[in-house]
Amino acid sequence: MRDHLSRRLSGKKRRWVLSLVATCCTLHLVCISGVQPAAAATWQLPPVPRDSTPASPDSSTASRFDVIRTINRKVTGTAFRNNDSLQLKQVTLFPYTSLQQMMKGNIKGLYVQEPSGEPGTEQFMYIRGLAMPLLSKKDVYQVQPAVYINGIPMVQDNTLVFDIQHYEYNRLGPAINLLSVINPDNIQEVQVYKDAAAISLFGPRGANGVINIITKNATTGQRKISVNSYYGMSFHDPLYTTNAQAENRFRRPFYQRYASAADSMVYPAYLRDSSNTAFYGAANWNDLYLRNAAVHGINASISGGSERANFRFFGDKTQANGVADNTRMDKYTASFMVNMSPVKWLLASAMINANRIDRRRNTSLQDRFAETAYIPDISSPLSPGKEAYGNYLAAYKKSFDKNHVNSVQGSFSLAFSFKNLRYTTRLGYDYNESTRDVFYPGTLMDGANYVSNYFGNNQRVTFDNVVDYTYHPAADHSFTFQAGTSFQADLYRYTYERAYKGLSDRVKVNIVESDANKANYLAPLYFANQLVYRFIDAEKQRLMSFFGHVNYDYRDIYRLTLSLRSDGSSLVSPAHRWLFTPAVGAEWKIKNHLLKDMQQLSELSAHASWGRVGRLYGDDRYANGAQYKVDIGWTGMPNAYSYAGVAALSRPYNYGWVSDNLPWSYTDILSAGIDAALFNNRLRFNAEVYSKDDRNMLLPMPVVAESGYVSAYMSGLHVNNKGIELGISGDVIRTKNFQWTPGLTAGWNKNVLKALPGGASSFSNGERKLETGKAVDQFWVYENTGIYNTSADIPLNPKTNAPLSFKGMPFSPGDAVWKDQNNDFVIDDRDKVLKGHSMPTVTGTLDNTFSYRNFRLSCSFYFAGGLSALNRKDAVRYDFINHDGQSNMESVKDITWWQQQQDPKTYPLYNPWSAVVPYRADQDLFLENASFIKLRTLSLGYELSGSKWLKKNVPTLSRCYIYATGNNLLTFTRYSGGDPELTYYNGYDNGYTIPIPKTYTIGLKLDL
Amino acid sequence: MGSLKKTALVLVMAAAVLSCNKMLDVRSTRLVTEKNYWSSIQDARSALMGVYGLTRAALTDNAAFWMYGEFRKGDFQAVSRAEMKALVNNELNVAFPQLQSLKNWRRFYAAINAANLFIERSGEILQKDAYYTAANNRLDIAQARALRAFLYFYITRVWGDVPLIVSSFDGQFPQFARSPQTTVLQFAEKELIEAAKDLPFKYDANDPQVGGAYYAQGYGFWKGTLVNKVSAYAVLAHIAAWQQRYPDVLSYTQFIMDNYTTTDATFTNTKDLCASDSGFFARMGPSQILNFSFDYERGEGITAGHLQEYTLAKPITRNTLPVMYIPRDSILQYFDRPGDERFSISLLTGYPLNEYYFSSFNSTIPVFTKIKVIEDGKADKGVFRMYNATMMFSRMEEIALLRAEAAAVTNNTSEASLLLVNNMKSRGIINVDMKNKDLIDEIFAERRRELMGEGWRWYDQIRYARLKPGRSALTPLLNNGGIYWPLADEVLSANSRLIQNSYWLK
Repeated sequence: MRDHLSRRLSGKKRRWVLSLVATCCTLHLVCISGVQPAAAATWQLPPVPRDSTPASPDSSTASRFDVIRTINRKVTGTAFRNNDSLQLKQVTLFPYTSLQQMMKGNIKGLYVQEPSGEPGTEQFMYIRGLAMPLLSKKDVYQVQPAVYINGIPMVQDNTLVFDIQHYEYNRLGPAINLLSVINPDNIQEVQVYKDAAAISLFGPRGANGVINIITKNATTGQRKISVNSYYGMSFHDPLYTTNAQAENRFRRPFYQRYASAADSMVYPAYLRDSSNTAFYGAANWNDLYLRNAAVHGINASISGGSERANFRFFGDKTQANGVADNTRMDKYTASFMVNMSPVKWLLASAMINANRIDRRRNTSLQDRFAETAYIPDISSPLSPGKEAYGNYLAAYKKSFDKNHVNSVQGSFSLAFSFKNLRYTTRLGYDYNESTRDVFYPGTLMDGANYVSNYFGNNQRVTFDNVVDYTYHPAADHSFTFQAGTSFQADLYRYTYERAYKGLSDRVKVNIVESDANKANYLAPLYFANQLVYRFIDAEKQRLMSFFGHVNYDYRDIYRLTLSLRSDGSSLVSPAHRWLFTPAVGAEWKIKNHLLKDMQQLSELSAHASWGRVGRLYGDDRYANGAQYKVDIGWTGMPNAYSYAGVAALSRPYNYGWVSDNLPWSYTDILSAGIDAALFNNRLRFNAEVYSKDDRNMLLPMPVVAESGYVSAYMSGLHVNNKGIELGISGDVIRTKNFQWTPGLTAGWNKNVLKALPGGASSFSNGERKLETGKAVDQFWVYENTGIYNTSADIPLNPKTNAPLSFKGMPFSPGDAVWKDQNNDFVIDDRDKVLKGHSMPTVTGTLDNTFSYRNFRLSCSFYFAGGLSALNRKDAVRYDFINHDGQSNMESVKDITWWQQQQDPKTYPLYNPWSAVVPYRADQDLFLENASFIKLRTLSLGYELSGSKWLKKNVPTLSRCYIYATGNNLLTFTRYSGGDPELTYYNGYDNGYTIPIPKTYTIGLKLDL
Repeated sequence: MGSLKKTALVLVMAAAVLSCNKMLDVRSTRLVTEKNYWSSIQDARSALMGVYGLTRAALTDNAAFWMYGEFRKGDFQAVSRAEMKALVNNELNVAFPQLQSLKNWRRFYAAINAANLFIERSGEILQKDAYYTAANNRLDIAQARALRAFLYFYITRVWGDVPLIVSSFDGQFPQFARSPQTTVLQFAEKELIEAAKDLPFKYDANDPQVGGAYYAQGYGFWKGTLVNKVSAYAVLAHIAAWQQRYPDVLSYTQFIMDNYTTTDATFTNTKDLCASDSGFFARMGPSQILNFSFDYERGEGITAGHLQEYTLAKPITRNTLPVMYIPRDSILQYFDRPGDERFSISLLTGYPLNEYYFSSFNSTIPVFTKIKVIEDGKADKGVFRMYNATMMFSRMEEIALLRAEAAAVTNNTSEASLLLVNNMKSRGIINVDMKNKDLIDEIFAERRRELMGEGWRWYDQIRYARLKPGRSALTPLLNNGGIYWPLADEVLSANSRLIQNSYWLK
């Protein structure tokens, strides 16, 4: 105990020293430097020609961008530009409803996984590979980049709810993509930061990369109005439906070749009777399942005011309809920004961005049973006929499933300018709440109806204080200093209640007694109290940071940046609460320095940076060391919490042991790159290489079972991602009337597991295996090499004369041949190999833009290579014996089960009754190359504002752009299971998703 | 003016530095830290319930209690599920996830570890909380010791030799080799005898060993949930029987026979035994000896890991077919005595006498409905499959038949047949004649009937094979170690000192 305390004290002392280094050294410089004249223009560095153009700077003393800029550290950020920007002019044409869709394919090294075409559902982003293995869906949340909106780190959904979930397909609650609140037409700029020098300015939240969004700001002068609108249709692809006859035909060869008489006796009832038109009739369920659906969006903004006070208002309404299962999302946005400068040295800014998202979910059985955590009798699937499916949908009409998110971001900031010293203070908050209210009538649930109510909210309050100072000791030298503190307090919580088997399907709400004087106050009135389950959980997190950084510029030739920061987080144990991290960066403008006279070369520069950034844990458990919690559940009942009606606590045997004093994990990023432009900027090129090391991360390492623990969380996981990112674009034709600009951006990433906790060389938890020296996203599978047709094919162990066995179970004819890697004549986990990747190694885009007079045509091909998908839907279909008569989630047959691919892949005819499970999913038989190229976007537009007639009638018109677009038009892939993008986070294709539609829109953009 | 502002700035920053460390100390509401635990009487209660809860979890995970005890080489057949077929055929090395999980003893060791920890740490509370008395602590530790002994006995029956770990090694993960089965059982027996001294007959304020309301709750609250003296002796009797020390079985069961009325335990008639509504399996009471309940009223009903998940179907639940069933021919073979209330064909009508044990007898797949407590067990239940039938180690009929077995083996034929005949008569069997019958065979046949679905069949067969090697189909397994379960791969790979049970090494 004493040791513990003294460690904490010494930590406290060290932190003092560090914060003094980080803050006071810069403050000291501020104090001694005296007053130096500085033009406001020094805040803005000249833009480096890149594949995107930043907004033009403003040069009033306290610019209207300053508040945002200072806090989000864009301009006084690092000494040189080191980010990728989104080409918003292009992106805003397309009917994107989430930030992820906007980013997809448009930023080098950023991979977006869109696991379903259902509007409004969660999507995930990965910058520069995987920082850690994704052992469960919870881990996906730990590798997401941080998203900042006008400098406020947006609070995202937490992983608390996964603790009570039986299945991890979707998170509990509405599962709405919180980054749907970003509206492309309201954005000025989106920058993506990937290198240490930049991320270091954002702190530990940015360890996976930073996406910095700057919304459009108020303008001065004449009132400006803009209106943007699009309308379009989404079209589905044809679908090849099947009925019981097709299924029967599919199964017949298995029965003919392998079935025993007893096996034939238990042929499923729905296939047995070929006169049953419900199953053997027309399979036209797709008429009701699929539809061509409309999408639309309209928004308007108005801004105006004087230099001293100005404002901007933005309002939007967007609707996206899915092409399947009647899915839909509606989104409403209202955004307001006001700047005031009552005196010349003070600028006050306030921003509020409010959103409402409603989502109509799919009606799949899988999602329903995941919600109810209860699977009724599923021995008979839904009938593939239109009429029966219609009846089912009619029964569904008696249910409801309301999903909403309300989200508000806001900030209030003050910037004080005193010549070349500036102090900015800001209070920011992000609050979102999600609700889901569900009722399923008994007719859908075997007679036991179901009600649930979810309310979850995430909130973050930030308080930032920053001091900037510029210093020009001589004409050639220029310094900027920045020091500041940041405090962020988060609260995550949810309440959730589910109730089964109410009195009647007419009572669709779990009403409780409202009279406080009654004995049954708050007890449910129409549900048995014993069948009402209540869950509540909350977590508070706090992050405190001190940082300081210095930029130095020498004659626009050398630019150097140094930043130091100290971060303390409540998520790290008190003994190691504070982490000090440095970052350095440098740029050399070769053109300005050595090649001034070379006319063909418009720009050449090289840059490099190295730095360390802390990584935050996703759960407060790791800060608390050895602990006790409710953990007395078992398979299928993870939430048991009491014995004899008394709450029970124990060590976290099923969650895993947590040691005391776990340290911070952190990321070291080394990167270097060059930028070049030739022939008067007609040919532009940039390249960047990086090596990112995520160290000291936690991994639940297996421990001896006799300890009772399933695992122990140990620190020491180290993953390296190396890669190259390239961008090249050129104005191949640049005449007055016609321009053709092709461009290619691509990123290549290699992921390597460098070390496991405790120096282990491999890790296995039964489902996944990790080996040092290999990537962390590999599948762990048996290598399939054919079929044993006769018993003579089965190898015998020469020593014992026993046949090859599967974990002790001898192989028999009709079984799959799996390679015996260690030649011990036993096929077991040791014979599984790591193959394929669930994440792409190469991603990129090929763009072409043509413009002729006022016409503009562009198309974009998006590609991802080196990734694989495990076709589990085929594995389940072929392994029908182990999925009939089971009541587990894998055996649920949704209406979409009655379909097949146009050209289904064929597999060997194994004995499905065999105890070795020849159609098991964990073999490379089902592992396929899922690389793809998509013609993702096509757009054609015409700018009308130049026309004389319009100019005459609407003199204020500055833009009138009409356009048409097509999205997701073509897919080229060798994957047999359809769209290779529609996989689960771990690369498994379960076949339960809604397709990504082809969408065509027409739109108008008007600036008045 | 300027310097004033600068000073103000410095002050703001300094204030922020000072207050920040305190702000980062956020108390988690999701767990209890080491520092805050073992300090109050509530901690003692929650930790003790944790030991019980983990024991229940180990027995319920993948319905382990019934998988180990009832279905393996048992009377039930699988309708279609391949892993259940493999289990029934003792093909335990088949690679189905459920069987993989059943090969893992981790959950049992979690309960053992929690018991070890409780025995080591609960005494600390005495100093910190005056409400927690030494008597209370003694009683709590006795329960933890009895549960630990029961768990060791249980895993010994399943895996044979197991590592004997009697210390928590909290936060360390040492590797232990297997201890010989006899050592483990010796330890369990010794512990149970010790614990039984401190255990009460009833968790009643009037019981001298409880001395006041136990955790402020009366007998009505605790009955049928906690380990008492009789539970300890029931386990002792079975430890002795497992080792064929039948004289000891006689003396341990004698204790139960002498004292069961003190604990309010009773024998149960057939109607009460099988009634879903407030019947034997729906209740929690002293008659369930060493009981782990899924009590509806306390909201502890379960949807996974229960016998009923496997055995029930129409007409009780909405499931078309059960997963496990006993074929009609077998039923007729086992229940061959007229008048048997549990099951028999009525001599008057030719139909089953009643539906206590089986429903839908006339279909190809009868449904085992002896245990059918769904929610509160009322007649309209079954739409929502929530299983609430209690899971218990023993009951008085079982103890009586075990005593009969011991008496028969020790040549006390008269007592043996008396106990057997009493049980048969209580089940309505009219013509009970033991002449020219092998008493041991008859006792085991009666056990098969009486305890069907209660997780005894496998262990009964083993004891029978030990008594009558020539007449049991399990004798080869008994001799080559095939009666024990293989160990899961992950258990073996995490502990280099463990070796697989030899039978499964082929």
